[in-house]
Amino acid sequence: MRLADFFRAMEPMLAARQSAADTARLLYGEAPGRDGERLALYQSMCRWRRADTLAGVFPRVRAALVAAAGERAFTDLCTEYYAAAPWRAIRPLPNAAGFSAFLARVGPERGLPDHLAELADFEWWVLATRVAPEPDEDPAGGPLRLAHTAELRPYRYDLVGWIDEVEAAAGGAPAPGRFAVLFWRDREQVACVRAVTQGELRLLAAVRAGAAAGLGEDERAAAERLHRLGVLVGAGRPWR
Amino acid sequence: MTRTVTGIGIGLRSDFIGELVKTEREVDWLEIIPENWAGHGGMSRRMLHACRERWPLVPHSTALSIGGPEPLDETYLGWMRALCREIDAPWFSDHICYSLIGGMHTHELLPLPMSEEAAQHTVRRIRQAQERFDVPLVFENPTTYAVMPGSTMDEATFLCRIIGEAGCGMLLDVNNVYVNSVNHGFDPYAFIDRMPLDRVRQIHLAGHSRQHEVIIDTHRGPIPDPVWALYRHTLGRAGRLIPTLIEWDTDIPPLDVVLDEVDRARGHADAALAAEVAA
Repeated sequence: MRLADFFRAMEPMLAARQSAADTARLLYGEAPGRDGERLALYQSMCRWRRADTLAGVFPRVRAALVAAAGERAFTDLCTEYYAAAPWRAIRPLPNAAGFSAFLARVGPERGLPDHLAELADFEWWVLATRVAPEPDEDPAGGPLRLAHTAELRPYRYDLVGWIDEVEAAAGGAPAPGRFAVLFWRDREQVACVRAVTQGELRLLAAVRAGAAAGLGEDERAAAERLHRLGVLVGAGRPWR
Repeated sequence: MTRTVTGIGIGLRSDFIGELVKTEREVDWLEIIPENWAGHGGMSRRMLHACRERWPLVPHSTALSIGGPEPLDETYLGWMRALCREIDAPWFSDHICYSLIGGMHTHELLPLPMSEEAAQHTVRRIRQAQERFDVPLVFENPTTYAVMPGSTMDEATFLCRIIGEAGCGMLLDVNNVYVNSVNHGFDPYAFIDRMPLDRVRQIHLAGHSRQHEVIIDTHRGPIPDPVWALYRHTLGRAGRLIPTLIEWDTDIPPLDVVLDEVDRARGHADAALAAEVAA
């Protein structure tokens, strides 16, 4: 068998589109023997690897799925996700970027908890914040601005409060509502999350628009607080 | 300046990195999975640099897909070259296998047919890849559970052909030799005797797991006695302490348990080399 033919025969199984048994018949004939039978090991290793990779990015999504439907349900979903969106990147983060949208799409028909897709988005941003590259410019200089890692995400569930409860072993489901969550890395480079207030939202919008000079007294206090936390950076500080 | 890698090292894992940078126990060097660090900033970057201050770091990749059908990924090679410079890597290692197919990363180390065509294909790509790096490339013998169709030679011949013709270094995974010897029924000692030990820059040792009649290279648990025995044989044949790495990637225990394996490796290495001198 030519090498190109070998790769052509293996690819559908590795892409989770063909069974190991069918692939073994293609490669080894109708009586695949020991080597053909062991091909299934590679298929199961690929399944495990995908699940393990996604579990590293989405530990709470995995825990919720395993608690609701067992380990196999999570592994099956990971395999299905891979088949729908083959991993083109070497690093997990870009490959995992579509998992939240995938869960939002398949969740209703599978009866998955409604908050799971948002939880996946939340966990993806936690990791993205943690590993984001260093900024090109000096955070201590320049105008007041959002830190390069700062990202605001809208959620329909109180994920920040819920995670605190989960970590306190209270469990339950996140409360519905309208929430804006800020992800950023603080001055010690630790990844942080925070549910922001309406006042902070207005402040962040003003800073983004370059209109921080017109802040009111309350917003200036919020700006000072967020600057201390590393959400805002720069030398220009309107509260001074 | 690139630091010399000698003695016994461990794989750097996020599970114990905080503990590792504070340990007073002896570890000679660290191996990193470069895909887990390339392009990352923040605390993980700081920790990597803290490790770099104390130990030589050696990148060990699983993504080069050196035997694969896809063109080499130039973006990836650029990251790896930059990382090698950043950490003063003495060499860069990966596996004789493929992992990228149809534009998809499987993140699995998949076996090639052991054929002349696959050997020549891999040799060509090793030479291509070597041109992109400032440091020597080193390739590991992978575990295999099935012989791929089209194979016309045994594993030792296949590996020697590739390493010899490509002129690259070898990472000899002693556990993989043992695992393959059980899975395919060959003599692991005779296999080691056929390896180009003068080209071996590094050794891997690890635990494994039995699954029915097959042994799986899980990197779980302490190193089993047959692997220690094969390690002593390898060092005895080589006549030198080849830099040795303890791999423990599944159910990672507290750091001290991993470091106990480092101490054991040191003991086995000393015994093997003392026996060689005595002989």
